Amino acid sequence: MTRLQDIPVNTEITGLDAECNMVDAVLHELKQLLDAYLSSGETGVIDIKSMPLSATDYDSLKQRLGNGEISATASLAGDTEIYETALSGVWWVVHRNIDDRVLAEQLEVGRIPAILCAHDDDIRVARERL
Amino acid sequence: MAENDNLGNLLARRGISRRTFLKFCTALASSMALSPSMVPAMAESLAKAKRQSVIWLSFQECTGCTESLTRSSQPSIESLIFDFISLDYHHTLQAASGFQAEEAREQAMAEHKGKYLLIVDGSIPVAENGVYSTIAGMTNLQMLEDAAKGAMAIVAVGTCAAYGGLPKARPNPTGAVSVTDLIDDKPIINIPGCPPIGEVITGVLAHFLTFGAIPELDTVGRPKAFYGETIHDRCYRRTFYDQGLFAETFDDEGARKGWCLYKLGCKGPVTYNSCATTKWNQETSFPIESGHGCIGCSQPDFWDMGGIYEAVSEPLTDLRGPAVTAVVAGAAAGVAVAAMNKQSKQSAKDRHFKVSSETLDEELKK
Amino acid sequence: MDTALLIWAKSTGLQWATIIMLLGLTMRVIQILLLGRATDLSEARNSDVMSAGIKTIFRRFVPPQGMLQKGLLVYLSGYIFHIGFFIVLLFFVPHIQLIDSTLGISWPGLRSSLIDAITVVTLLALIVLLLHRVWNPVLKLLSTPEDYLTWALTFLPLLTGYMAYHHMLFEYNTMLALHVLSVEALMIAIPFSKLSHMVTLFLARWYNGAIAGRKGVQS
Repeated sequence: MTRLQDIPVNTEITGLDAECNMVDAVLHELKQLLDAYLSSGETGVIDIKSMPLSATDYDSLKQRLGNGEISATASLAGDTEIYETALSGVWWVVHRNIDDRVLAEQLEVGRIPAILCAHDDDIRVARERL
Repeated sequence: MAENDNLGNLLARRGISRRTFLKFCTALASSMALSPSMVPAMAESLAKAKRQSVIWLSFQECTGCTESLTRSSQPSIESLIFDFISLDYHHTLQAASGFQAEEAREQAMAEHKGKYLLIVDGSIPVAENGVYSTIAGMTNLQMLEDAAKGAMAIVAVGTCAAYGGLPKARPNPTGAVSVTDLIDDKPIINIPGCPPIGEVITGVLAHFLTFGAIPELDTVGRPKAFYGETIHDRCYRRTFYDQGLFAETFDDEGARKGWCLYKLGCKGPVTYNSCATTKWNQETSFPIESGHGCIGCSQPDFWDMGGIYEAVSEPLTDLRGPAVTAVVAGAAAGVAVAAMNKQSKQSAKDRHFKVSSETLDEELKK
Repeated sequence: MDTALLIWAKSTGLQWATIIMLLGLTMRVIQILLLGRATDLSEARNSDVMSAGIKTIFRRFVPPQGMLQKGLLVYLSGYIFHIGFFIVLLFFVPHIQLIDSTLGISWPGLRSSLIDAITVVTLLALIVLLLHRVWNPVLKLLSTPEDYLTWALTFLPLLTGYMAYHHMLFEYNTMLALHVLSVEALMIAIPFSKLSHMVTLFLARWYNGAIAGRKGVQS
């Protein structure tokens, strides 16, 4: 059977696609979030999925941020991939569901992404189980 | 499940970690365009949410809205939340029927008076005192009025409940109206669409359960998070509209190249909905992506907005007939006025007579 | 967000505006044509009266010698706004679509961004003309309420169209309805105001040219 992605689709590359540069905007926001973290310890998040990023923008953003020292995969009803970018304290987090579809994609600024921290309620349950 | 149980305990019993729950909430917030920084607080609050009684009334409808809801996939949190709510009446989904079903509704209404969430799909016919649609011998009109009294808030799901929809299309034989036309003393959230996107229905319900309040609404009662922008503004074909590149037919070169469908009747410019971003069928696509224009189904009176294949700028009535009549009538009126002018000119001429110095002298002597 | 208003504007409103405009214009033109003129008993010096009239229709599009320098700003703004108005009216794709659906004729349109720029220039030209009318003491004295009304009726369709396109002030549907309604107001006013010059200017120019032509002079 022909799969959906095997059907060739003619898409015209338009000038606009390459022109609309959201990458600088994201980098600028990251700068502000890092400033906020350094001055008050407040963590920040940028929702990448809801941003009108073109494929070119997305790739160039990924390239600009690079890969850092840590990467992790969490199995939370579908994989969640987390890695630190080349910028310390800037984390790239991709949440996928069981069908591997992206549910949310975020840049998180802080010492450690919230999703990696254990919740007190879960820790309490753990204590009861011992 | 105990009355005062909360969602967090249910999660624990199901072995769902709070991390997983946080992930769901992140996805939910992302789909609702909420600030991602709100997510941890939202997750905490949602975990403490109490079991919510829900009564779902279906009136003049096609069950498409329920179909859409049950196929909602994202963010999976709905399976949790819908396990958690107490759906006390929904005549398509409930097992009970007949007297028992109606009894369940009345019981829930009495037990949770002032606290239950009322969901309505379908329009309400009011002509002839509402006899066009009845359930168990009771008119929809009566049932809505009764159920609305004890409701904490009302959610009108689908264009029929929100704005009258198809039943209200001209000439509206049953006198169909929307929920807002009948109820004005309760908070009402409209989730229009024919059907609405499943994820939008669950997203709004999750928002309500989380915050216990209705989200920010636009002037026609829709949550701005999902209905804040037009299809046209978020359309991936928008750039072709701006460049003046249009498909003229559904199988021409332009259509194949994915150019703008404006000329083929796309109602994207006048339609507020999130199809272009949330998309349909597990985010596969939305109508424009499969080559068909938007039909504007989330707008009030969209059935009367002209043909599906007529461009937004096309007039809704025939102009040629009236134009010809106007020109003929104008010509006739012009001729008539000209004749009157001629007549008054002639009568002035007729009254004209020669005056000599003698006659003037005589006049003076008088 | 008023879909009901938009539906009314696109159906009943548009229908009545079309009827009133066409009825009024036809009536006035027929009336003028049937007015008749006193027979000129003198011998015509130039037998080709008709073409003299037609030539004048076109010659008057060009300012008389020396006038352009005297009133450069007014002439320029006048040209810009008239030409701009017609480009926007006739070359914006949704407008062509409307004409196509009612008259069955169409032609290629211009890209929206270009139409957008022309609209801005046209609006500016109209503002210049209004300021000139208010600041020039003689012109101000000569102006009647009708002059300001017709200015507003010309300005509003352009402004509301621009605002609808850019989602300003109201949601798109409401602004689009206001745009259609403002056009309808303009259409209704055409036969009963100085805006009727869009038809009568041809009659008047032809007549002037014909009289002068008969006398053997250029007009």
